[in-house]
Amino acid sequence: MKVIHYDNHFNGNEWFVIISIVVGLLAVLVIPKRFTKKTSTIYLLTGVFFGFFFDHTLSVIPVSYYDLNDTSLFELTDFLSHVMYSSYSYFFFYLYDYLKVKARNSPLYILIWTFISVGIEKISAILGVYHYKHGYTIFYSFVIYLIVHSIWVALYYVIERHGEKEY
Amino acid sequence: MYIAIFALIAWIIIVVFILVPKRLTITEMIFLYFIIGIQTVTLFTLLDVSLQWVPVTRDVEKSLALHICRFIIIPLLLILAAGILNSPLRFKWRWGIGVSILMLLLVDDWLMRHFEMIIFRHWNYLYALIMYAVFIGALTLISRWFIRLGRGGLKQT
Repeated sequence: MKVIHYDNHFNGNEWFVIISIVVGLLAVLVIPKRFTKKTSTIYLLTGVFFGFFFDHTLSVIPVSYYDLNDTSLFELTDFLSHVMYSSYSYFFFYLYDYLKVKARNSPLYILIWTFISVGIEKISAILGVYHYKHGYTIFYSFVIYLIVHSIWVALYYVIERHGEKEY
Repeated sequence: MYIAIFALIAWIIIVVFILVPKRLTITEMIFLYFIIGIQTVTLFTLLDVSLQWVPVTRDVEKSLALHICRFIIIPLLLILAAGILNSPLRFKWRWGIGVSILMLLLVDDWLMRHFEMIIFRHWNYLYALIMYAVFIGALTLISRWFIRLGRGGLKQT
């Protein structure tokens, strides 16, 4: 397998990932708590899991639509790039709960977050976190964000309504 | 054909997963699923992309079958193992079932290899056995921690 090297320096993409993690997690700690520790843990992990799921189904051969960070290999910065999504998903659920978004307004909420996500991804791509390949563009990500955020809203209701049921 | 075979196996595992009492809440199962997903994807990507020890197939159908394995079969078996090892069952039953699940994971690996979905280059079944045993052990401890974090998925008022 041919290894692609995009960059060999500690620069924009690494700083973006580190600053996003630190600022994001600090913000999570500072804002008033709305959820129990268990639920908060789930909401933090949601972003990380979905990041892993989609990045490793879309960015790995046979599709391999994009690479993350400096090389096409899996590196520590790639792992941290997924951890970066933790505070992002937490705020998605936090605001959904705080604003008491009704089910019928959820599609609008999802759309707003999709635009925010596309904006963040655009900045990430400029800084070298994402390197698109094989005709992949940010417009495909737009569709993926719509799907992911819809799943998140469904997950919110599952946890709120059935989270404590034992099976 | 590969997708059909692994979809059938996945469906049987789903049926068993639903029927077996796990003594875990939905929140705890979602937590474990996320942890397993992150853990397995990280390790399998390292073994395939970075180290090339267990390279995976480049065939589209086989890749989709591999995703069924990695996102349904393996996580559900591991959640079952963690749930049973944390259950109040007698010691020999807990560990007996735990070891059986470990064997099922190895059979799953054997199937993946048999259908050439993965190749063992610098890897063998002993390493796979150790890896899954460590997965099950780590998950049992993590799930124990999470259960004790406080049973409650409701909002604080």
